[in-house]
Amino acid sequence: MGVRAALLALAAAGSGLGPAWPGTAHADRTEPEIKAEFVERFTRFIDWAEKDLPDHELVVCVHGDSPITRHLERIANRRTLRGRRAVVEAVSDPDRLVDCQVVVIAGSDRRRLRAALARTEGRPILTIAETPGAAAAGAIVNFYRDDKHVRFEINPGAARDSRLKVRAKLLRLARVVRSERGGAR
Amino acid sequence: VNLSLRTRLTASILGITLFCLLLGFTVIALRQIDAIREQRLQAMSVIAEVVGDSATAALAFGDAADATDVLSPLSEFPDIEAAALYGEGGQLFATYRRAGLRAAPPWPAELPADAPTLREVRDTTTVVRIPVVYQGYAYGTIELVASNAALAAEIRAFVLTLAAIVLALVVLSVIAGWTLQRRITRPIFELAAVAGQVSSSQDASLRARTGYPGELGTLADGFNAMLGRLEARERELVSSRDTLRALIDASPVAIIGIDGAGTVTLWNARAAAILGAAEGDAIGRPVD
Repeated sequence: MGVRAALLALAAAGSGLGPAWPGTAHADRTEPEIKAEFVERFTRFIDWAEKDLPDHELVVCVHGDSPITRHLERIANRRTLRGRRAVVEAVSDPDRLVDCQVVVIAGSDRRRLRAALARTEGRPILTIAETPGAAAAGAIVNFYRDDKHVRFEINPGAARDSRLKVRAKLLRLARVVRSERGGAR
Repeated sequence: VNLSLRTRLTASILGITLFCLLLGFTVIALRQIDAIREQRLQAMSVIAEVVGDSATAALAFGDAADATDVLSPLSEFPDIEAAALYGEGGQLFATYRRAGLRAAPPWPAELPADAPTLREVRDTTTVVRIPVVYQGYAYGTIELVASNAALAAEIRAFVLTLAAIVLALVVLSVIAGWTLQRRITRPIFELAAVAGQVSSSQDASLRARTGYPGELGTLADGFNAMLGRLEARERELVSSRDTLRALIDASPVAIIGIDGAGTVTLWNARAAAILGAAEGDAIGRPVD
């Protein structure tokens, strides 16, 4: 931890608030790095039915070109996801998304978002987007920025449709969103 | 001597009782104080675990505001003065301080990686520091600091209660000790009184009270039997002396007894008639 991080931590200690992040300080990390880290954490607090997961690996697909892929690969090299080997794939063909357990829909292309959500809807696939309104459109998790922080909204209805259980601990941290009628469906 | 027997008996009974009581008191007090502390540590560990568990998502996603929220219900436990959550890398993440507490503990900005798990009752505070683990993942560390005021009050109340019980037991044992020694010493004193009377009055017809249980009964019976034999022997002696005297007085021969110094010790009626001196005048006079 650098001097800057220590100072940040001190500031956090003083106020009881503020950006203090596990591992290294938030300010030291880029947004894709934080998002990749969060994707890994989502797999800890969102549960699949055991029969919906492959036995030995968990496939994380990044749909669209994004630096998140690189960071996810780094994480996958160090850790397992839900006790399984993590496989990170950059997938451009939306039809191939059905073979993934986690789908990160990168970028803010709405047309691509709708196409991806149309393929994954109702399947046990954790969909994570970073487009405003994506959760209302049917993504289970959607990143947004709040001042300096990376935050996320969660659509519990979409999770339920995908037979995924979002833990209350995670919901506490999220902005809870309902599906809009006629969104991606 | 009487007093010393009483005192010695009472002192022995009391001494043994006090020793046992104090030994018991000490063992119970130490064990119970240990148990009270252990209970406190366990309660704090449970609180730390529950609060740490609720903080896992906040730690996982770096949400310090939520972590602070998670710590705030600690105000339900007035003993808990302060708490801190450290992230996975050991950096201070969120803190709690009881309202009205003047100074928060000086939390380190970063917990050393080798900082041990703590479960300690210190002079004025109790500290519990445990890792935050959820579903096999480590998310950081939680540390609780509680005031020992309530704990000390609990221990004090317990010790006072125990001391009061011990005091009551001491008073009871003094009374019991006194009563017990009286039961043992009274017959001995009665026996001693009879023995004293016999030796001062030379009256062998006196008897000790009988019917005591055990050795004391044997002693009293033996004492009485001895007195009986003494009385019988005395009676025999008196009657044989009287017989002898009657024989001497009835003798037609004058009998005069003289001891080594030439003093008259015996002077019978015939001697008085022949020598013309009464027995009363002759006894104790030199013979001439």
